[in-house]
Amino acid sequence: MNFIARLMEKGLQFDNVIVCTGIAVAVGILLHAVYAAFSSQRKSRIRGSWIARLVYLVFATLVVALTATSFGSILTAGVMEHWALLAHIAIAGAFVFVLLVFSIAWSPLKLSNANVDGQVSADTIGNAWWLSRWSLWCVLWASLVVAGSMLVAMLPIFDTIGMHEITMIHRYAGLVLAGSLMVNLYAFAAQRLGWR
Amino acid sequence: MIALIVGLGAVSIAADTGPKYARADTDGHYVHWIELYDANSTKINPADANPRPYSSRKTCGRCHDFEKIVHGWHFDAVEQLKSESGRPGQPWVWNDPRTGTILPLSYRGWTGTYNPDAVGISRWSVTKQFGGFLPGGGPGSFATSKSDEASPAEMDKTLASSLSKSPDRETITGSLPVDCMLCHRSGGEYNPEIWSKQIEAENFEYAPTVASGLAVIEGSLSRVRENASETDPDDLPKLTYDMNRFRPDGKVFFDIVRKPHNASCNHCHTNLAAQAIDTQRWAHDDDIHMRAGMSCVDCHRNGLDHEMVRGYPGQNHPQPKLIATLSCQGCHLGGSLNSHDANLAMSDNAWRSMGGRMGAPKPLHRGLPPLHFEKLTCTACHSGPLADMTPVRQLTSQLHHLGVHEQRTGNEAPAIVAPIMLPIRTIASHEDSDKPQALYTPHRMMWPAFWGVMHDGRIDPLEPESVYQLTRKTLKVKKDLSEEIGEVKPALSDRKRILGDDRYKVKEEEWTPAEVDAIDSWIEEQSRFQVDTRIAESLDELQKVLPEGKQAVYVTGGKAYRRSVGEDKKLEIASSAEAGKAIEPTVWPLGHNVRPARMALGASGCVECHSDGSPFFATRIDAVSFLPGKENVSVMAHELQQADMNRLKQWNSLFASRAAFKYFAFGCLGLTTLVVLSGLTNAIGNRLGANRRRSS
Repeated sequence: MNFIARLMEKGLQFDNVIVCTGIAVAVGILLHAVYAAFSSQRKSRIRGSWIARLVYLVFATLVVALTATSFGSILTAGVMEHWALLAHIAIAGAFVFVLLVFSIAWSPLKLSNANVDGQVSADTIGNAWWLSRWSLWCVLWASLVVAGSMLVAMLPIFDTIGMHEITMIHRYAGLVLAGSLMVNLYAFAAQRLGWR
Repeated sequence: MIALIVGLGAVSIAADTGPKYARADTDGHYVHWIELYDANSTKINPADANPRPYSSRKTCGRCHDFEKIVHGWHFDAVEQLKSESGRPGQPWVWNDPRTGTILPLSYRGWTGTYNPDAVGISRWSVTKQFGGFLPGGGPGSFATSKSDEASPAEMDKTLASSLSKSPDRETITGSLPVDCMLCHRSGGEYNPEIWSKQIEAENFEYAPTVASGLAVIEGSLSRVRENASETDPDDLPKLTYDMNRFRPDGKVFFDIVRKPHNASCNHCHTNLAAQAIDTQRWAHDDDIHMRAGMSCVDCHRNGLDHEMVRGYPGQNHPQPKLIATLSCQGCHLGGSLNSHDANLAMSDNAWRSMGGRMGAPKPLHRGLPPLHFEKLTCTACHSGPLADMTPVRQLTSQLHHLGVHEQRTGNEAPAIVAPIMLPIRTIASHEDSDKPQALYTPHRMMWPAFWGVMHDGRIDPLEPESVYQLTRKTLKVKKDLSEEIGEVKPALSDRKRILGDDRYKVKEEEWTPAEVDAIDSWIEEQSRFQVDTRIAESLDELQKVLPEGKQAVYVTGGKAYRRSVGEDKKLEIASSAEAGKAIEPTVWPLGHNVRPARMALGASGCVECHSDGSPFFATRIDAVSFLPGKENVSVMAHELQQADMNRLKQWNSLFASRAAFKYFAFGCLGLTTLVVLSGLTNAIGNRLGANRRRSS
């Protein structure tokens, strides 16, 4: 009740948005996991190449680190500063490069091609569960917005209000990225477990 | 009947709440031809044999609400009935070169200052010392003095009684009146220098009359002895009014402006680079606002209550909405994106739309991460001297008596340096608040020097005049401690011992380099010995009047010196745990001069601050000491900022190859976009193809 009262009083605060999004994604995943575990829909398992899996692992690790240094800092300290900001910016540099590799390794081309033929191939994600595919799309687009918004902000283009707005875009895109990645991880895990 | 009663009541209320004083309410210049009244409300006749000075309270107060005015910011430092201390300002500094005293004082409780009442300095002494650069009232309003009642924790009663009393000649000089003309003058008849000099001469009551040029004065109340049972009327100053200033009806023209001219403000608020004293004044620029044709009071406004708009965000002012756009941020940006003032009821958008007063350009700050606005005040980048590895020395009106005609070198004490970038200090009472302001702001800084009592991890200053009386025989200083205390000249016998029988009578110009070295090293050694001896003996003198358990110390150059244990007259340095905050420098934020945008800090790029060795963090400040030959404290700005230099170095490394990173990152992002867009177009194409195949 207190939390709702705070929301009502203060309006939409970003730290509340983070918490709400986290809870919504977690609850959604949990509900589906319970449903899937009991419905026992055993379908094919997908497995990418080891390189693709390694890239995915690195990419996911970077996103987790970026999330921890940004949202973690906002939730605990109220602001993003000091070591958290420093780490965030340092990791962000690596993220931009890994994002390129990730987009190639987990190419949507594969996804779309597989769909066309309707083939079931063990080393593509084309035959993946729709949640895997769409969450991957979300991860890629959100990553582009996250990285692009901050890179553009490094140029002398936007004034202070514009910088604030682009920061907000960066924040929300980051939130979408973190949420999408959680869903995507779950979707892949569900398929690995044979729930889908 | 009822209607009549109600009607009469309404008229009565209207009469009670109506304006007490008549007003002109014109944008035109209201011409003041007025009669002069003395403190007894008697009209002044300049032809009287012994005319009294005019009283601003009785003269100006006939048409203006004087009671309301005299509790404004400039007059309310002592009582603080209306004004809140707010952001620290420049303290008053008790500067006595004879005892090597640089003691920051304030009644406002600002961090790093001492309350004169607590130190035992009488309000009268404060008035005499600082009144020349105050508009009267304040500590000079002795009627409101509480110095006798004051029993602050800092001042030990036993200690207070053992020291001689701070001079208090109130009964001779009277109080220091508020002088409206110091600020509201126009034309050239009023001379603020005379105001300052009359206060120095203790002619408090006469100062407004003489400074206005209405009369000339002969004599000084400073010559009247304190213990004289009855003052000889001949000893009193004599006023001679300028008859030409009086009209036949006895009225006098006062050239008054509602909005004070900059020159009036600058009598007390000039800040000057020390180099400007010598030859470089022509090379120094004005504040950018002055160059744009503005005046001080365009921003630093006040109403009749004289509650000044100090101009910093978050000032607790009786009319917050009216001052919301009178800070840098409020005027240029219109409202705050990171407002510190939560009391404003106006919506952010409404406030924001109010920017641009007086044609203030809106700064774009293109590409500047907004985080900077959460870390820096506007003045951090835009005000004060340009940051350098060594801060520049400055002189200010109040501390160096600028405006008074005298010889200066620029090296006069106190040694004020600027800019030092520090998180804004909160006043003592606010230090425990949940969200103290911690924005980096350029500060002025000086190192206090005073004689005090060390006890319980702190040092309380001793009343400076008492210190002088107690130490003058041991210090043996006539004018300036720093110049005289280490002054040693070898006597003929010393020269004989150093140079030998054959050479000791030789003229200095004929000494060999080896002999010069020998003499110099002897002087150095003797000087060191003499400094230690005289300070130690003076500490002994002070120790005699101190109660058990308290130790006399001399604070200077960021260190506290005390007498070493034993018979040797040597000094030792008290640890910082023993000395507490008393040895720390005194700092206060600066607001002016504002530089143009192209000269702002960071205008040439991020690395102006985000690089190793940037003056923002790496400015070195050397303490200034009165004791020659002593090693003084030297600190870096980041030490005062308590900045995490390890983290800053990491930050700086991120900026080392920032330009190259931008190319790399945009390249990666461009390729990623191509890959994702290819996927998207393929997906759409395949989906359409599949649909077509399905339908066929």
